Amino acid sequence: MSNKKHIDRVFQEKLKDFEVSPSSKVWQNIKGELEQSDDNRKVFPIWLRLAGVAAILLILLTIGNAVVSESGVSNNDKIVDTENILNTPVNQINNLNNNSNVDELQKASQDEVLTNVNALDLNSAADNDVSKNKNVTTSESSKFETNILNNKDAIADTNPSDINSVSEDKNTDYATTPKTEKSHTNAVSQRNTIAATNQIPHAVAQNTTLLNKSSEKENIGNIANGANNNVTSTQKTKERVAQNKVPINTRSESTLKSDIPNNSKISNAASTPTITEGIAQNNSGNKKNNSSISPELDKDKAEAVIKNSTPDAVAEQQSNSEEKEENLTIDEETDKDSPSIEEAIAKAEDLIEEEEKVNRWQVYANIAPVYYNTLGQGSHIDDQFVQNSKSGEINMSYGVNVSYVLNDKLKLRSGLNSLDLSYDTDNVILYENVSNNSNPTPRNLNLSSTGQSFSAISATNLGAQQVGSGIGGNANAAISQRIAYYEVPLELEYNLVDNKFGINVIGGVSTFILNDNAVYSEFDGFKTEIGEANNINDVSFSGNLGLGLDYKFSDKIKLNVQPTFKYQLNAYKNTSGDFRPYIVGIYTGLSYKF
Amino acid sequence: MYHLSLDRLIQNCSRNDTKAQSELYQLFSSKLFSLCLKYSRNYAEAEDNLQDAFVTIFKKISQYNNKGSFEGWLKRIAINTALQCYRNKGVFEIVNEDLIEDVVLEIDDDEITIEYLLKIIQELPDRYRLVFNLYVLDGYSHKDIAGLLKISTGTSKSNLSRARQLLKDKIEHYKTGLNSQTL
Repeated sequence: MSNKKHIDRVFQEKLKDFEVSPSSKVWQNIKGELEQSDDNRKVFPIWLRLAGVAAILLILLTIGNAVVSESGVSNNDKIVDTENILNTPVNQINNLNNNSNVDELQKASQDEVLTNVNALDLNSAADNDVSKNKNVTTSESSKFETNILNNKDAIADTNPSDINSVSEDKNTDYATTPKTEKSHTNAVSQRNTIAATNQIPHAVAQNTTLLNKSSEKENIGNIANGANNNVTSTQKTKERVAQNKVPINTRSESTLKSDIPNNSKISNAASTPTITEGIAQNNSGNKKNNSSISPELDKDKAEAVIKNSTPDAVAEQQSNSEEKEENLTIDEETDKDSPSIEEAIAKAEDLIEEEEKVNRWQVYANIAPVYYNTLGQGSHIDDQFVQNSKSGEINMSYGVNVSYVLNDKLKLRSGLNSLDLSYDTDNVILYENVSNNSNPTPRNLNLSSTGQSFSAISATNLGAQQVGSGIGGNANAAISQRIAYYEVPLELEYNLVDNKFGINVIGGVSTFILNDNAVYSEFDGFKTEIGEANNINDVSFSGNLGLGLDYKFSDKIKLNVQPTFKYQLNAYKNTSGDFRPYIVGIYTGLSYKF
Repeated sequence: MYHLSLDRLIQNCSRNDTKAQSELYQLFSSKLFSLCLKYSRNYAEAEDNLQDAFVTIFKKISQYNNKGSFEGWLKRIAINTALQCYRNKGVFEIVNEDLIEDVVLEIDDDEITIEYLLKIIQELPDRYRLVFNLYVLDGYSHKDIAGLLKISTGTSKSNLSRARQLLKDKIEHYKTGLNSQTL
């Protein structure tokens, strides 16, 4: 009986130093579980990085492949076209070299005009295309440039001998041929002049659109000089033409230098024999014409040019209109006679169109601070938290977007973003518990099985005195909801301003795919995972509205800042009160246009 | 010396150092396993609880703030893990809260093995076992237990009395069994 002890004491004493080693498989299981959770943590960013790299590579390869295959074809075309263009004038030049016949001279000068016209047509067509397509990338435009320059060089090459021979022939003719024939040559020259002046305004009009004022002035100077030099000495003409061969920076400049002087040259050369005074007037007229053409560039002016130049010649004004018409017919004939050029232009246009399609893509990497909150007063957790104060937190979103240019104003874009959100419900009393029989956990939370067991009640609704102080009882903590989404936006971007600084509006929808969902308790700066929400939809949508501001560093690289408001449509299955979540993000990043 | 190395061990564990985790496990697994055995219905369940407890410990070890004993912190997590297990399984039913009178609960501790004591603890209904463990073996007050289990202190006291009575009956039954065998 002396050994009788209280039952508690018996158990306490006997079990005080009770220790049992668990089997080794327990540790193996723990290790396995820890490694698994580590892997899960690491997998996400690596996966995203790889996906981003893969997406960019895919896009690059697709575009690269398209560009390479097209450039191969276009190179062949280019060579054939230039040869076609060049062959005819070169042959005729050869025939002309020792020719003293006025009729043949007439033909020759006409041909000269034709080639010039052709060149102009090609150039203006090319310029039209180029100016139409602002989106052409430098590689392609440089391709085009070389194409044009090739033509130009070729024309420049053929012109010197051509013109020289023409003007020399003309001089000798003046000595021998009768005056009737002279007048005939005048008519021809006049026609040429008109042909030239007719074409010049168009060419100038096309070209000057691409030029700034200073370069316009230069061109005027060049034209005027060209005209003067041409009349006074053929030697100078040679030099000048030789100068034209020198590589020129701007495409449009080269067009003016090589074409316009040549045209005026022919007219001057042709009119030289008849009236020397007239020549001077003609030259001054040309000067005036040229200077008036450049700044004004109207069709009216072009007619004025023709009028100005006609009094210098022998023929009367009435014949001008006739000759103008002739000129038009010549142009038409020219078109018929040179299908290769037509083809070349058509092909060039096709080429641009094809390349344009490729150039519509643009890649945009972005990072954004995002703020998550709700419009109404409600709770995603439980009815009792409707009145609690809540606060959104600022998190990060990042991703890669791809946009496709529909037209000058509209862009369609999509991509993949990773988005983290968090939202705190403040003033909550959290305590660890075992039983849920008297106070169940919030209906929309699944508390984690491995973590501590919690019950939560709103301190806003209940007096704190009603709550028992269990161990670890946290008074007035916060429940923090963390959500990670993958976001796939589908948005339209409409350009309002498209200069160095651009402004656009963005509208669209986003699909959110739930990646992670966790609920933390926050107290005294301590965050403890207590479970997850059970009412977040795996897939949800939002309506997006944004304002985009961009700054172009170059044609390809832009800095974008896009404050965007995203209104979530079905993020939660059942919420309490008026819970309408939204996301505000300032999406910032660089975009690269292919 | 012990504290210094333990602190370092905890720091290394919070950096997910596998070697440190292994050391920490070796240091405390026996103590925590015995605790799990007392709170569980059987050996297998205790192993599961120990596993879950250590996973939680390693995940949250960075949150341990060096206030209070580390062993106490570990034990709390292990106890919570065990309690969580029953909460999820929904074993807590409404119990009769009538207080029963404390009868004389003195027993002779001769010839009673630890294994037998553990066995009869594990055989207790869950709600009795948890209260008995918390109150008698781990020093929680009825107030604490009421908060933890979300029951009233009256229920806690009632459950404890029933647990004691059941244990006493079993021990006495065991002894008579032993005596009848020896006679």
